[in-house]
Amino acid sequence: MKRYRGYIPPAKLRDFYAGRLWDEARLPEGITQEEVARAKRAGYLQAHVAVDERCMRCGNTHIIAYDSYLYCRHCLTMGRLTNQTTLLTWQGQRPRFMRFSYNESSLSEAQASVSAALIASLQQKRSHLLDAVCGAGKTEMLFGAIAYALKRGLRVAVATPRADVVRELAPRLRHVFPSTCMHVLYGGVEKQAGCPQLIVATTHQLYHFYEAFDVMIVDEADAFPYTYDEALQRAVYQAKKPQAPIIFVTATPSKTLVAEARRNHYGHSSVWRRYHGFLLPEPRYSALFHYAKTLKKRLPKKLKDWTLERLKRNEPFLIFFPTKKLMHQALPYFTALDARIMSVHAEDEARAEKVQSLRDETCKGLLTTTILERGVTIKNVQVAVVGAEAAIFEASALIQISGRVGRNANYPNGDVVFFHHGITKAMDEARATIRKQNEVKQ
Amino acid sequence: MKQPITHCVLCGVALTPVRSFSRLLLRTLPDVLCATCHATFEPAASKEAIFTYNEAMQAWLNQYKILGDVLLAYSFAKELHAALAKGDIVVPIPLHPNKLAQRTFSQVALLLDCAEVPYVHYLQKVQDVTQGLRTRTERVASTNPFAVAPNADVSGKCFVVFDDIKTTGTTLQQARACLAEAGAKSVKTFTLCASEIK
Ligand SMILES: [Zn+2]
Ligand SMILES: [Zn+2]
Repeated sequence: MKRYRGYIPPAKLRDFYAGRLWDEARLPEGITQEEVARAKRAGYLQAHVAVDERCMRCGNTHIIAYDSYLYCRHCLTMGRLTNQTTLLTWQGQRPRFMRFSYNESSLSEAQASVSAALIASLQQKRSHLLDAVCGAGKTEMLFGAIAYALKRGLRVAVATPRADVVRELAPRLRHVFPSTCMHVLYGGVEKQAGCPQLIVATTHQLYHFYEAFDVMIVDEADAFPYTYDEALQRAVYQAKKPQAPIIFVTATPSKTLVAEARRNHYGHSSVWRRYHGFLLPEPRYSALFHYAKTLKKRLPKKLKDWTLERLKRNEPFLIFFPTKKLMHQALPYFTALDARIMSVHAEDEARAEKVQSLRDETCKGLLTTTILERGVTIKNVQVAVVGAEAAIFEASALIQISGRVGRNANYPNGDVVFFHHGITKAMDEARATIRKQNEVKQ
Repeated sequence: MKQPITHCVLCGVALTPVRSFSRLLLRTLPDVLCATCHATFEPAASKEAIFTYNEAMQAWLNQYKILGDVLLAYSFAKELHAALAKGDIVVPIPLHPNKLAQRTFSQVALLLDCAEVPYVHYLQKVQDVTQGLRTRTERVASTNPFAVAPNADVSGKCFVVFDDIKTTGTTLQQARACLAEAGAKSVKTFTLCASEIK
């Protein structure tokens, strides 16, 4: 590619566009159209047609045609791409990252050995599967590997399917790597300054990156390989450099992922104990027949008693519902018991604040959809699932939900109850898995 | 759109195909929403709209207009066809050419196209103003942004002005005034959805 002599693109262009796959029309804050055009002419930015028979961003091939337009519906929420859209990639120098500091935290013996195994895998540039029970302290085990990469000037992405988990991870990483430029990316978040060496993002945000990362960490990878959304999986592979290793982190790896790890000679670490050494709380079953019908008129007695018991003992609690509708139906009966009981769901803008208020004990308990099934840590929390037989509560979801309880060393136990209208295979599978994890000798 | 729609455009579940002969006999338009998604839209209280502007409609409008998911234009084809295909001349609220270039499609006219409702562009937009940025009083006070299209003869004709959403009613009033002043015999208004003003 020809480059004009004497033109050096402004650093802000490199900071933003390096590693990104970005719609030309969506100018980032502080960058003008002229600056982009200039860098393009000089060969520092390369233009790509976003959509032809395939979407360049998400790889979807089911393209919709109307008039003279082609557009991709699959990644629509990230901003619509058509055959008229131009995507830009950075062709200039890669940014260099020099600043590094590391607030090392103390690790248990088990955590330290996993941390060493992860670093060994990175040294060999091979991927690694880390399966560790809920509350094993997975994040702490990752710090060493992230530090290893950052220290060498490599770019690292930590991706997870849920924005709540991103919000929970971000401050911890910021504390551990205080001088690293880190961006936190999820839907609706504001633009951040500088060129990020470390990003913490929802998996969806990876659509905006192209061959950017030297190390890719996929947290909550139990849905991997994503059978239901291949595009999202492609996003993970497209956002990293072709040879960059992936660290898959999960409490409940799918059989396919385990098989894939074995076939491709990934590193593999398993942690069967929580960091504090106590066993995982086993869920118990409690029949709550026709709860959906009862909830139209009142709280079923068992559920009411359970809630009153929590309030009496002043224990924070989460009650999971299969649908938003059922939850909203139930809410008034709960607030009648205590006005400080609230509800959250996926579209709730005050979700983060409500979870925080549960931690601060200004909120007594939260009714929630599956949105809070993972990533959320609340001291001494007690958990109930209403309608545990519902299809949305897959075994992995129920394991995650059970994993909310007893994470704190001072409160290693707690109640997990599955209120149900019939026992499903998923419920049995979840309980059996937890029992099996508890039986494994260290 | 060139592709047949086999899955719900909102949630992606497979749609039960309508047998082709009954489609031919009854001349029905295809369903593109599953029953569950369709049930999230509430019928309007007023006779001049099909739906109320509820949470589901807000999300739908956002996906259709703001995100530009053109495929959604088929969502309410049956209802629009039943309400508008016969009767007065349908006049869609026009989009300013600048806005059209930016959006790449005319969201109001496309709803009618998909519903197989004939219409005529008797109106054109001469002022490019974005409603959202202004207060209600300002909107009411501002001058009429519409004009009758050049060479259009509206005198003595009966019209129904169609828009996707009615919030304050100002847009529809201005369009109606514009046609009435040019000599229309009657001007009714109709929208896909209307918000209940409290
Ligand atoms: Zn796409
Ligand atoms: Zn649907």
